Amino acid sequence: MDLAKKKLGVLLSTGREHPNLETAVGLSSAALDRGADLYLYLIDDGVTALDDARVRALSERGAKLFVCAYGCQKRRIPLRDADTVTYCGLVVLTDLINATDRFIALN
Amino acid sequence: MSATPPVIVLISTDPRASHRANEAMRIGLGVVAGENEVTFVLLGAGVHLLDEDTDELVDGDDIAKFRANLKALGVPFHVDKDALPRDPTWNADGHPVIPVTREEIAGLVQRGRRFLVF
Repeated sequence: MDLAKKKLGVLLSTGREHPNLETAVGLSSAALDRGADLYLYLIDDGVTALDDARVRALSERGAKLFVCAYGCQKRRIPLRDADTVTYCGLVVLTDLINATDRFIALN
Repeated sequence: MSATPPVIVLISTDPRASHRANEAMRIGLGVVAGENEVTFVLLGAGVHLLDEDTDELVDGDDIAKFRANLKALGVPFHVDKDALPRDPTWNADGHPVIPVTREEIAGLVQRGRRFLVF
C-alpha cells in the first residue's frame, strides 16, 4: 500500500511510563519512513511525552506535533518550543479526526 | 441516520478512581462541538459518570458540567445493560440513556468511523 502523502493521525493520552509511548513512536516512525504525513496529538497524561527525545525526533523528521494546552496547564507544564510544537485545543483534534486518512487513538 | 458514520467514545474507566473517565467525556464533548455525530458508550464502571454525587468522582465538578452540556445538546449515553446500577439515585439528572447489550455495543462499534476507548 502506497502511504506517500496519506495522512495518519495518532492520539496519545498516556504518560511516559506507559507502553503506548513505544507504540506511538514505532507507528509514527514507520509512517514517516513510508512517506506519510504524520499528525501526533498529545493529550491528558500524553503531554508529558513531549520530553521524550524520540517524540522530539519525530518532529525533526517532519511530523506535525500538537499538544493539548489545557493538559499542560493542568499539569503546570510550561508552553515552550512553540516553533516546533503547536499548543492547541479540541478543535484541532476534531480536525485531525475528520481530515486524516487513518486515525489511531492510544489511550 | 447521519450520512457520516459517528465517532465512538467508549468509556469503561471508573470515574471514582481515575480522572481519565472525565477526560474521555471532555474529549467526546469537544468532538461533538465540532458538529460531529458522537456515540457515547458507558461500560462497566464507566456508568458511574452518571452518579448523582459528583463529589465522589475524580474531577466531579467537571463531570457535572460536561454531562450537563451533553444533555443540553441532546446527546444520549448508551449504557451497558449489564452494568446499569440499581441505585435509584443513579442518573438523577435524567440524562437520556439508551440501555444496550454487549451485542448491540458491538453493532455500534461496527458502524463507527473513529474510536476513542478509555
